[in-house]
Amino acid sequence: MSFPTLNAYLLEVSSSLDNADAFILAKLLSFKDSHVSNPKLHKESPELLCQRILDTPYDELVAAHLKGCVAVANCNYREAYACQVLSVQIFVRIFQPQKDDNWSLPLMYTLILDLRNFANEVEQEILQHNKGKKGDTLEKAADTIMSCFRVCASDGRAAIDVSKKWGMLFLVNQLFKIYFRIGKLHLCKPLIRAIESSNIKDEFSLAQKITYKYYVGRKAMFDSNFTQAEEFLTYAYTNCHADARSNLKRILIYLIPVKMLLGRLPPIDLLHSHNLSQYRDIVMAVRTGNVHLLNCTLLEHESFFIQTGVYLILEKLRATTFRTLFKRVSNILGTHQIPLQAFTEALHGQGITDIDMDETECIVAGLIYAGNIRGYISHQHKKLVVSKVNAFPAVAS
Amino acid sequence: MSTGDGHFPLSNRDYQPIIGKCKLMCPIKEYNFRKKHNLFHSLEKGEGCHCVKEFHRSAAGETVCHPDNLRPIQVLLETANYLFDEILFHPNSSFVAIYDFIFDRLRSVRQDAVIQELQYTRPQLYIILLEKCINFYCYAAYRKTVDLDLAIDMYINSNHIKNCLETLMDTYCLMSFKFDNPILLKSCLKMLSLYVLQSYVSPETLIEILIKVPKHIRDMQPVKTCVLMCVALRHKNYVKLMKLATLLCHNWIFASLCFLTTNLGEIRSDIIKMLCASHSSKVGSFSALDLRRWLLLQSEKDIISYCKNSGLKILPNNGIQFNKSGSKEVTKYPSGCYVLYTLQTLSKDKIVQHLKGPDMINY
Repeated sequence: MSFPTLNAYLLEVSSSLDNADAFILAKLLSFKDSHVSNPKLHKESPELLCQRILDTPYDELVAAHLKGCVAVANCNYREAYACQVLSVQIFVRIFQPQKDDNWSLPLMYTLILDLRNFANEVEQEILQHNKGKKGDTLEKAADTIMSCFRVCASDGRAAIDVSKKWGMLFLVNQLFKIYFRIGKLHLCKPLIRAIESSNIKDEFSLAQKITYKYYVGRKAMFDSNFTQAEEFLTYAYTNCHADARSNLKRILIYLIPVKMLLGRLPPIDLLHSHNLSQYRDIVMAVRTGNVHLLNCTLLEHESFFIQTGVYLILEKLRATTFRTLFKRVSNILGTHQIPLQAFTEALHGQGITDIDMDETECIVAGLIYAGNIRGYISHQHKKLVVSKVNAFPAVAS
Repeated sequence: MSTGDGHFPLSNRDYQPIIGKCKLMCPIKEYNFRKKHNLFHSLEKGEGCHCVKEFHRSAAGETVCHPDNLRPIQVLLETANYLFDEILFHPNSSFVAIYDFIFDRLRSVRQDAVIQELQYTRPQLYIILLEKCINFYCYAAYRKTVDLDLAIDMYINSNHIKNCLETLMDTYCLMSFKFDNPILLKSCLKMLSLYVLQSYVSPETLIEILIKVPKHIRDMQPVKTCVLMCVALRHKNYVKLMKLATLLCHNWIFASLCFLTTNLGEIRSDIIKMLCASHSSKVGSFSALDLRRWLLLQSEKDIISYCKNSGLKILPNNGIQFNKSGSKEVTKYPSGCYVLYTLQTLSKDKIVQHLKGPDMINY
């Protein structure tokens, strides 16, 4: 949106307020709109002009936004962030007293999104120049977003179509993005509880539900609740738009390890089509019981797996890989009394020479304890005695 | 960005942090007050003993931030050293009384450090100070493990270890894991090892450590060994865990050894449970001699005693019979634990040396 003068801009804002047109107002107060770079709107102290044209407290809101535009023009993101915090605080003062009305929700979405983006910019600066505590700005942004969330969540009396509760899921998703970024996943729990207990949780837009399920699925994965993680991540994957390739990839990064742990390996062409070749050798290793290949792949792509947080999940696949290897050894020998030496030699054959008989026995004991092998170990005879029926139950079962 | 001498300029602040001026272990004001009201602790009376500042919660009317009441970093380090040199093995007091006293005084030391924002102004000495505190809490946990009658609250003690380690981690991140002194790097590696071990129950914390700690630090010993131990523990590969624990013993990583001792009881219980499931047999048995490597106990006699206490059947040939009906929890610490033995060989002077850590007061 372009304006020849600041006056013209403010008149447009006033008009959108008179018409209660939140979409136009959101655009006028969005940092993604072209008006932000318009030098005609860059005034150091726009308060007086805003007061002349707009009512309180909208004049303060717009003044804060205009100051933010100046800060962005000077690439001063700390100042822009501070202005945006002020904008959100003023917005909450406007939003809360609105009874039985939620017309300004689109404006809230824009303000919060810009707030989080500025907080990210400030964090980037902190990382680059090592000034200040990492995560501090994002955490403070989260506190500001929570003030909006409280207003939305406590709107119990309004009729459903004018309820502020419709803004809850958007805010929760923004908070999830922050909490995951700063590593404070435990703060997600009350938000999840609030959404799950909401009577409109299935009525939110599909886009918001997909984002929500993605983050809740990731949280479930970190909590080792793999069945729930699979359910949520599968929902996100199935309902994600087919053209949203980067989002699909993001979901698969977590869905694939979860499914592998539950005994379901992905087809190789799925990995190729989403450019997830890091998992290709992991899948091969688990499928064939190649522990050495698993070790090498984890080492080769260690940075990627650690940064995405799936490293420890993939480490868990070690047990599945051992189980597959030992099953192959058992099938080759064709006996239900398998010498432990055979397992040790199979591992040595793969190049893993630092595992001795004791450790092999311990690994097998762990597999029996976890239910991956049905049998028992005779320590005296150094043999694994397996059940004649279904000695190596499928992991999926 | 560091100013080169380990100081970090405090950005986004309009004020300067408070710098403590009290050169004594106890501020004059507090000393006079306690003298007047006869409030000296028994460990502060007697020849060679000194008054040490108590921990006070900040409250209305309290002037905790006055520079005259705050001790600068050098005095804080000296105070911690004094507590270990003169108080830790005080001949006339029980360990519980000593623990309570040192716990309170170290809390006051940490409080002074926080008020002066030493994490930002003197991070290199701050991490040495925190290391001393962590060493003490770990040592106390080890003492409690071997003597269950000690009235030490392990929950509070563990929380203080956890808080100190988290603060330490934040400080290392502020310093970008760059140390211009090899002693500081060595200290960092020791503390990171402990932090890794502590996180074995929490995959979230372990991933956070793996993300924040640069690869070249993670690949250094003993951090690498501790990461492998954590992974082995999560996979229930107890044989590998015990092999790696022996490496830690050889390398004298004091705090980690104390932590291991505290947690080996639970780990041994898990091993017995696993063996009851995997080696259950009415005819077979597990030789006690072989079980030494699994449980990290030194002799056959120690194994037999431990297994008996676990409710397992011992055969005449000293074989242990495991069965699916399970075992019972052993509360008393078993004799012959290799890790414990390593710690028990330490003389009092050596323990104090480990608690004090590197001498950096004049750094």
